[in-house]
Amino acid sequence: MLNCFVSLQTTFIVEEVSKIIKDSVETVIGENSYKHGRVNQWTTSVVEQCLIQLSKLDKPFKFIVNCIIMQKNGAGLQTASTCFWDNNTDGSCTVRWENDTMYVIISVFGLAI
Amino acid sequence: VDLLLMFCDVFQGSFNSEEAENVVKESVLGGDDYSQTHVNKWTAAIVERCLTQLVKLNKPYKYIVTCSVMQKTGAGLHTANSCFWDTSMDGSCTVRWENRTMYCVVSVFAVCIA
Repeated sequence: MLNCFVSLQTTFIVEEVSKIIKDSVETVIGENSYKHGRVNQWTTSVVEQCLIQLSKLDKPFKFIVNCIIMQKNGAGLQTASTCFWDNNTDGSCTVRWENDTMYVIISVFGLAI
Repeated sequence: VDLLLMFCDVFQGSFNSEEAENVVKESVLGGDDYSQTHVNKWTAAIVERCLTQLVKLNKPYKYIVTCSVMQKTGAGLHTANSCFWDTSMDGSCTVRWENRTMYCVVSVFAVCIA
């Protein structure tokens, strides 16, 4: 029982991170339309919000949060990532979100210390 | 201090920026036009090659390599990243590359082990 608890505290849990990401995007961007002048502030706010919530989890992890915002105009976008880490403890979570005028892709990578 | 020097070497020295840029330029994208059928293969190959080269450095780091390829049609694209880590030992490097029909952004993050 104790072992189970300990490993939950030191593994990357995708569901809870996914929820943090979704909440951050909804809060910062929500129904706003893509605006060139504001997108800089949105990407910064989204990653900052995510990171604050993630550090509140109080787990022995280092985090990397990556956010991409793309205007919807028919362009193709492909993203890929690969990681060299410890499969037992480290993990990642990518959330793809959209509204009427933009696509938002947020990736969170968690590396156990 | 030794580890810090190695970190400086990798991230402020020439490896990351030039090597990563070469990996994107020479092997995979070069003069190709954006192609929806091939782009999946390209992004996978770029991240794989970058990671292989980084691991060969044999340093006590975990690595994350991300790559985004976007077709040029006038759409706006913005990327940002933020990291919660040890600022003295960990680091990142981002390379932006383009040709006539597409943009490519490659980011490398390196996190020190202990």
